[in-house]
Amino acid sequence: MKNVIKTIVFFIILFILLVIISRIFIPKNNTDDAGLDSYGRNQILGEKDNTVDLMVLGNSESFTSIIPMKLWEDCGYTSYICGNPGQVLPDSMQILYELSQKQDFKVVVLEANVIYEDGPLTLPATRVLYHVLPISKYHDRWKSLQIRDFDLKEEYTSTDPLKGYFHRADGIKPADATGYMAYSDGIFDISKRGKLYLKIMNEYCKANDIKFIIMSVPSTVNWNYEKHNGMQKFCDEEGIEFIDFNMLTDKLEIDWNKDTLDGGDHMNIYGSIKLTDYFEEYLSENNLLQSHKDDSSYSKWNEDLEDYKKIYGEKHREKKMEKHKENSV
Amino acid sequence: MTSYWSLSFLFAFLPIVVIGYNILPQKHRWKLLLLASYAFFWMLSGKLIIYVIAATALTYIGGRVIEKIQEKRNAEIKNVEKEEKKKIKEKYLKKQRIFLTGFALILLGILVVLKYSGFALTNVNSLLEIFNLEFRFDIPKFLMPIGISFYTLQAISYLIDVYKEKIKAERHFGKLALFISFFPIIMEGPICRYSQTAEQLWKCERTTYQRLTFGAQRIAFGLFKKYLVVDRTNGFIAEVFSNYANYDGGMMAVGMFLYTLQLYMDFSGTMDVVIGIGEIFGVNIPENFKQPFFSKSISDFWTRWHITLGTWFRDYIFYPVSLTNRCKKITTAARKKIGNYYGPVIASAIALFCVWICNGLWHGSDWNYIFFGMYHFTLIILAKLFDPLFKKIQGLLHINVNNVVYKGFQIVRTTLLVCVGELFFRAEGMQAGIEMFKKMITEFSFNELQTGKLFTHGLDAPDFVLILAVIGIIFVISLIKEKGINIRESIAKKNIVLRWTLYYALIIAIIIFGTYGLGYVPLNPMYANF
Repeated sequence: MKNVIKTIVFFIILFILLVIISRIFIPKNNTDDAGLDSYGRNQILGEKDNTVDLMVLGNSESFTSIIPMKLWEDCGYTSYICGNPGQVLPDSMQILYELSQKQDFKVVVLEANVIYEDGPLTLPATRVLYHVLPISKYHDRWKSLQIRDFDLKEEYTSTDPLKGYFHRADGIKPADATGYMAYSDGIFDISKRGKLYLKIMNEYCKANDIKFIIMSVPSTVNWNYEKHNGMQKFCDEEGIEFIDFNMLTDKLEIDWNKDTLDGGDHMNIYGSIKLTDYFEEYLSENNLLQSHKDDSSYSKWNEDLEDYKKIYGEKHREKKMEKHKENSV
Repeated sequence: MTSYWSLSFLFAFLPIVVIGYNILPQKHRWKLLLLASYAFFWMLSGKLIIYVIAATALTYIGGRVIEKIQEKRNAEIKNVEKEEKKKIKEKYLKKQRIFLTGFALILLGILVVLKYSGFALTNVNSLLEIFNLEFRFDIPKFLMPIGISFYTLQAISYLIDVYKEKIKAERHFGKLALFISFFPIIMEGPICRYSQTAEQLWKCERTTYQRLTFGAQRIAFGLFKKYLVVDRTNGFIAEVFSNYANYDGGMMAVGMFLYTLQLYMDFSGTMDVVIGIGEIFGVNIPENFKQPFFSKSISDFWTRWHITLGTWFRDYIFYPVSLTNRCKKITTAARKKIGNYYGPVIASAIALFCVWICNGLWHGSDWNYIFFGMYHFTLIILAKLFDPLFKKIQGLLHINVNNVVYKGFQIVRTTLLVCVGELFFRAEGMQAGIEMFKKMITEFSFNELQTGKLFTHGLDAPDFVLILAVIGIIFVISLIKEKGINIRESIAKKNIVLRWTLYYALIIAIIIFGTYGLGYVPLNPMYANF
């Protein structure tokens, strides 16, 4: 009995020591050099609490989907893309939970491509370990620890004017859309683990008054009719909103010669503009978000809009000109 | 699960086996260990488990057959005259030898075919090319079951020990199966002797608190070596050895030292884990390392490095070869011609040659492994040949060989010689090894260090500082062990604050400085490839 107590006490003290050490090793900022992983999606941490109403999760498909700054400019909606390359579904779940502590999301959109990436079986356990003992994730920072790390207080100062949208989405590489979305009544089913994660996310959103939407960005590489059928079936069963842009490419006038960055894998800015136009209407028609345009506490978003226009403003004007020419003819 | 280092092994497989072992009644525990061993083997090598089962079956049958012959002999010589006894014994010895040779050759044959047929046929094809012959052999590519080089030698030693009547043949197939496939030793040894290990395996005493904590401490120490040094150095070593043409002799030297360090940390670290696991189950698995870098000669080195392989070769190749009639005759003739010192050296050279050819080949099927074996053979023989001359010089110069400076010189010299051997061992072929060695001598410089480029090939300055710190810690621990002090027992006697501080320091060092997580690709146990 004495040995059992000794062992328990040993591990309790070890746990306490590791918690204390974790506090030192956790990056105290979200700047590029601070050591926080997935730099891109962590820029949301620099935003004021409870100012972002819509979050997009997913892998690389997510950050060439809708354009947060266009949503802001056109409708005054605040949104952020918190996807990262290679994100797996358990990660999406964890990000939803963690960021919900800082932001009062009204809508969470999950890009569907991530649903087929469960990650290894041990991943959830790893993520729990990272959450409980961040030293296991940030231990490599022993080489770059600074005095400020011993301050123990986090202060996130970095934000992204594009709110997570890809900074280099202006390339064009046409796609071969032969056979793309050819009709099939076959079903490509989501894995059991994937379904479990989605149900957990859906229940979490319901419990926190968040509208949970699954979205599939047009892609000739990653999507097909069988996946659409499988996803639609699951969403119908679970009562989850599913917007499959792959079924709306005609309506959106997606041009596979111009609207893709890399031969059909991802959209580019031109494709994203079309998606965002549709999405804005959807959000407005369903009264899912409110405009913050007239709220002076969101003035930073107008400053960020200017930065966005410097990068992509020209592309929007091109699109408007094209549309104007088409309407005139 | 890929090895003893994986989290699934350390935090799932092992705890489940330990708990199950202690829940079960004592007489059934060995069965759980066997089941766990086969499960472990299956997880690593899948269907190739058939090889270890086949080896067990051959070993079991071989042992029983040899023992049956001995029993028959014993029955026949019971009431017989001395002269008649001798004849009967010789007759049955011949029979035993035939079966022993047969079974050993089958066991060895499986190893040879799987491991060496590709190498042999590649060289035959090269010869055919030299003689301008059209015909070529297809080079087979066999999948090798994990640990085949280890359990084959273990099985052969069992058969030989039954033949020599050092041990009785095991009647229970399952127990013999456990001896051959016991999961802590199956992957990288040590190569255990039946007489040392078997009884402990089925004694199956309960895991006491001390065994559990001592075992865990030993495992943690192995993890310390693996996670702080082995994986950390791999990128740098791979870069230097793959692209040696791009670097100067200074880099060759750094690569050479780091590889030797990596190999030692990996293998001895694995042994720490293996021995620690054995302790938990009450099995004293033999040590495989005894502070090898305190060796004062190459011969000394091989009594401290991979000890169980060395003793296997000593007991089953060196002694049998050197005690053959032919060798005895050579010794006698040589003594008459070249004196009582050099005479026996010739005979032992023959036996040593056999040992070192086998040692080199055991490590791998390539010319650089054969070179590795011959390199150490040459050093050992040269040391023996020049020993009288060196003693004379020491006498003339009044060198005190017990002086700490002289011992230091011997240790440094031996370490350098070992490192050179490891350079060839690791090199990507004989030609690469020669080129690297030449560069080290003819193009040596400190340029990479002076320009700071040394820290841009996978190891930065903090990594080097850490490695030096770990070397320092291992050095101090080795010094203490060299004095015969059992460190864990000494620590166990200290007060709880000091004890727990050391344990926490060890665990926290592994967690902070360990090479795991994103961006790290763990290196598979190096000796598992042999």
